[in-house]
Amino acid sequence: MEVAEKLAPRVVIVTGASRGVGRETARELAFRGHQVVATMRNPDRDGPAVVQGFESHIRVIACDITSRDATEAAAAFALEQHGRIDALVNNAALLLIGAIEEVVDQEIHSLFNTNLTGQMRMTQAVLPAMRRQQGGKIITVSSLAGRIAGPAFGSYCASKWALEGLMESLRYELAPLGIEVSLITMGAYRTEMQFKSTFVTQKLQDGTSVYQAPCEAFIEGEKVRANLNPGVRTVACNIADAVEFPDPLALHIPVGFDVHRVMPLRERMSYDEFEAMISGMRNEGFPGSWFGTIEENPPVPVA
Amino acid sequence: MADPKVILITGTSTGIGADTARELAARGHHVIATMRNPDRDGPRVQAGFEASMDVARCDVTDQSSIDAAFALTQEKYGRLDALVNNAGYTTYGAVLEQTEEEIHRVFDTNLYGVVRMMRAAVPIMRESGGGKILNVTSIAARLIGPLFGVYCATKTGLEAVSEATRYELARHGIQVCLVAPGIVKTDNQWRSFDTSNAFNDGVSEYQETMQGMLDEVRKVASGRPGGRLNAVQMADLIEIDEQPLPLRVPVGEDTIRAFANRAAMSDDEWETMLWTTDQEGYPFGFFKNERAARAQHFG
Amino acid sequence: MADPQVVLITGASQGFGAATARELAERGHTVIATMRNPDRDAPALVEGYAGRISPQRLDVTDAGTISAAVSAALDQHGRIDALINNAGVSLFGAVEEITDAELHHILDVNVVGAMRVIGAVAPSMRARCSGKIINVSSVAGLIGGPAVGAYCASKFALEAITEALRYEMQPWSIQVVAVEPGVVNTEMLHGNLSAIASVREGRSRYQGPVEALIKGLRAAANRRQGPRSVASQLADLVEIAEPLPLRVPIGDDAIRISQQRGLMTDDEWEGFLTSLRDEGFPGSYFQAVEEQGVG
Repeated sequence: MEVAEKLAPRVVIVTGASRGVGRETARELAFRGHQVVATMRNPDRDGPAVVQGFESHIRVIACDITSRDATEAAAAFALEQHGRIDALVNNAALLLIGAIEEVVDQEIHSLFNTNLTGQMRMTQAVLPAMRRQQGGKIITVSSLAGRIAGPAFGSYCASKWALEGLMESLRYELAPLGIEVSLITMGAYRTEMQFKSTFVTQKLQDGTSVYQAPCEAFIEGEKVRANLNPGVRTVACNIADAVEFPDPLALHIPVGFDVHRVMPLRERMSYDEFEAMISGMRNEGFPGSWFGTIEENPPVPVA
Repeated sequence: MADPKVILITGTSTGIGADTARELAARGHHVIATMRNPDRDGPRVQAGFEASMDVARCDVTDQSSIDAAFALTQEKYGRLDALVNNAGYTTYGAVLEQTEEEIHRVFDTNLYGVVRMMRAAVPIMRESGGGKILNVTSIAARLIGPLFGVYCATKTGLEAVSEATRYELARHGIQVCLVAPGIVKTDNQWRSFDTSNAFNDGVSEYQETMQGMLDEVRKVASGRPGGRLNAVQMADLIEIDEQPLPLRVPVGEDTIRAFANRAAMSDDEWETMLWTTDQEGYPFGFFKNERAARAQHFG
Repeated sequence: MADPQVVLITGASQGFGAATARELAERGHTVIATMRNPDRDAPALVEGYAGRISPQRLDVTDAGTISAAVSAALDQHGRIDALINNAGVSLFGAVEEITDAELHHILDVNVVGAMRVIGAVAPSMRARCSGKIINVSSVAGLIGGPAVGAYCASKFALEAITEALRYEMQPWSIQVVAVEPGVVNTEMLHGNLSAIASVREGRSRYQGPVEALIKGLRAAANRRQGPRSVASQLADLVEIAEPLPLRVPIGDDAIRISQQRGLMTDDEWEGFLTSLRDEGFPGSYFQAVEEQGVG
């Protein structure tokens, strides 16, 4: 009886691997026997915890995806170490809180520079190798915020929607080359994004925002929620599965109970129905904290 | 710029029909603008476009006037590129209170009239190697409203014959397309709005509900834009020289939205929404008035 | 006839913007038509509409010109009833070859540009608890496609901004809408189409398909309608007194695409889109890939 050939180890670059989804994914892939190049901004500080126990399967390299030199160096490092790149997991991202009216240029540019341009840079860096190999996978961690949008974090949603538009387009461009492009639609999980990768608009920091109360309620609600959410193992396993999966990947890979609940509604409901549903929610965190606060303290028009 | 086309439009004395005739003429096409009373309404519609627009008498319930309009088209241009079946009017009354005569009359214009026009247009379009037929339906073909039941029936009927002829006429290169305006500020809510005799005589069982909803519909309509967007959209559809036209084109944010909402809801969800809404206008205005009476029977 | 409205529209020198400015003026509204170079472009726009269209210099990438134009409009008219964020640029080229600067520029105009103008106009709208913000998006805000990734990214982002802003503006009864025109025969498609450097310099690995797409899109545009339906729809949205929907597709193709995309799964949609071979978007691209491949 023939035994199916064991899955060959893959070479995978994971960005933003210092913590959260990135770290778990790097370790899950290593656990499954793959070779991982884990990128992060500060390997001296964050690297050891990521590598621990998988010293022969995880290589760490400093990489800030806002730098083209750094992304190209990371791709070169992977090639030098392993001779090929089978998959890229675009994970690094920032969260910005603040009303659209009050976001300033520098804030939105730095957000987009990581969440969109950063992913594009890293993707471009691995494409020459994948082109030579005539194959590869670009797996980008997006979120429910890439499919729906809400108050208090509209710019973050915009960056994720933009990422969706870019990657959906890229998928058509790379299909003839045998390179797959896929997006993880991630729901609410316990990550440290709400604590460590979040920045808020200057207006909110100064306490002078017209939207101060609902934005603060939103932040507090999300912090409470963040601790109650399940850990990111599921996300890491889904990403590792996508790396290993032999059949063509779907454009969107939904991960999370909330995603499985919300996306069918989003697809089936009219915009009017969906908007009424969102506006009617009063849960803690997104979006209920916002609407609840507005309901309790209706804004007074300023003359 | 698209080549000049020859287009015959019905019901061009006012509203969407007049706007469409003038829009097409402004774009350099040859328009045969038909209406029941050209002596009265023709000059106003034709003003400024005397060279490119013919005004012809045509009552879609009168076969001889239809024949004459097509004879004029044939004689003057020798072809027909598009027919816009726009003539129609709205009836308002409880279905069972509408008289046989009222029902026959509106079907004669809104449905049979369109069939007559298509029957007359197809031979000349076949000779021209194909053509486009735009049938003006309504938001009311998909959003059935109480007190508009007979009108809705003419429009759902129109949708059925349009879809069927779309398939049947494909062999001749003729495309049939439904254009669905929403609520537009036109004379349709006043002049072309035929209230039932029962209501006019003040003896309808629904008198109060009818008056309330009529006021609402007119109020909503008066705050709406005119028919320009419909005219421009139809002119676009006639000019577009590309892929097959869609079967159905909702026009205006209200129709696009209403169709999306209706399509997203089950019949039960839709009905529950209607009975519980306080929204005004078509088709909502009826329900708040009738809610209590219904509750006596159905809880 | 609706009460005369004061409308500020960006990118009014040509295309949708110019057509909408004229349509609004014809309907009796007051139009502040903003553009980057009024000395060059305003005379042609204003001709026949003097007094009803006031041209203003405004570059959406330059905050100073925005605040100046908005203050001037508020000083002169006391209010802005509707803001139409229309200014935008296109960009053709494969994602693999887009430079940082190219991506930043299109985002800076199409997304951040709109946000800057919103930031300048919103306070006066909040003060009156009334106003409309209409963002001119595109069907490219609903679907991705080959060789237009950066443009899609910018329009997807604008769609998200619209949806989020709609919730944020609810308390002040300010309405926020996105409109999605399909392929329309405008100057944008016939002028100097912006392509990324690798395509302009003829060294793109995707050269053939990208050029085929641009050529096909231009040919398709010639068979399509001009900007009047977009202008009429935008003017209607300015006038309508009832609550506005979140999204309004404009044109038979846009209505069709938004309906079909909504009904199909990702796989069905992708299968449908990649099967297209007709001249235009995206058929011309796929046709060229089939014939020439990509490097």
